[in-house]
Amino acid sequence: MDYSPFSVADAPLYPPGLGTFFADLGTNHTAASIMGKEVLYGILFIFLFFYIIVSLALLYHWVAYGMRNKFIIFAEVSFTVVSVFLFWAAGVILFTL
Amino acid sequence: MSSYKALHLDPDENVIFEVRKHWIVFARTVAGLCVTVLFPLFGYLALIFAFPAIDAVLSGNVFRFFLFFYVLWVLFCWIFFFLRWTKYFLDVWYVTGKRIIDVEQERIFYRIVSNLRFDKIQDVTVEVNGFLATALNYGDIRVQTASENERDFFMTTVKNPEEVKRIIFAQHNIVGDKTDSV
Repeated sequence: MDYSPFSVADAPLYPPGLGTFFADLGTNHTAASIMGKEVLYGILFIFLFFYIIVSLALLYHWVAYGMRNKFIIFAEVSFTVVSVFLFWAAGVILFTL
Repeated sequence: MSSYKALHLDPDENVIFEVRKHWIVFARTVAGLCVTVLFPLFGYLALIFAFPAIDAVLSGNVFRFFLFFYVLWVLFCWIFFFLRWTKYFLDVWYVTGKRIIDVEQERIFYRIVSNLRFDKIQDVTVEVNGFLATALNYGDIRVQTASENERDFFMTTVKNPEEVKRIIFAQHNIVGDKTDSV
């Protein structure tokens, strides 16, 4: 049995079973090699489409049944601002890929 | 300033009080969502901590690739949070000078609105069960009706149930006095 000292450096670089996947990422190193940029834009637009539908349903409920409550108004503003910011961030990330 | 047009109140009718569930109901959802939002971040950090060599691989474009999906994940959690909050917030009793209006927001596009006039109220029962309920002052409340045709009003985890009961009884007495004087 081998009792030679073991160093952290001897350990595999990647988790078991994922070595090939991570190695491929390392060599190609672009998102486009994993998934085409057009596909990512497609995912973003489909996500945006469904997000808008659900958002409209929410906004309808807030306007129709929220009774102009101060919490409802705060929800409307914060939901809209944060959603726009996150979509903008997603767009910027995608653009700079 | 709140506007109660959607309730179709009588001209001489005003909303006195709104009864909602305690925030503890929604706190569980928020805690769950916080874990859900932070899980990928902690997963990423744990991966780097466990396998430092991966840090070089997950930098640059690949990191942004993961970040893009993470932002979509946060957006999903963000809208889910508001879907749950809407159900929580629009599930409410409006106590007016004449009646209690029970709005049950079961889910989006499914709400049940019922009315109960004060002269139909027979009893109001409050149940505060457990240490947490006592400490945070929440409990279940049931408004029983005298009529066989109308169902009882019931809400769980109501904030400050004794105060709700007091207001309903006070208004019940005012309406009763008016009826007696006529």
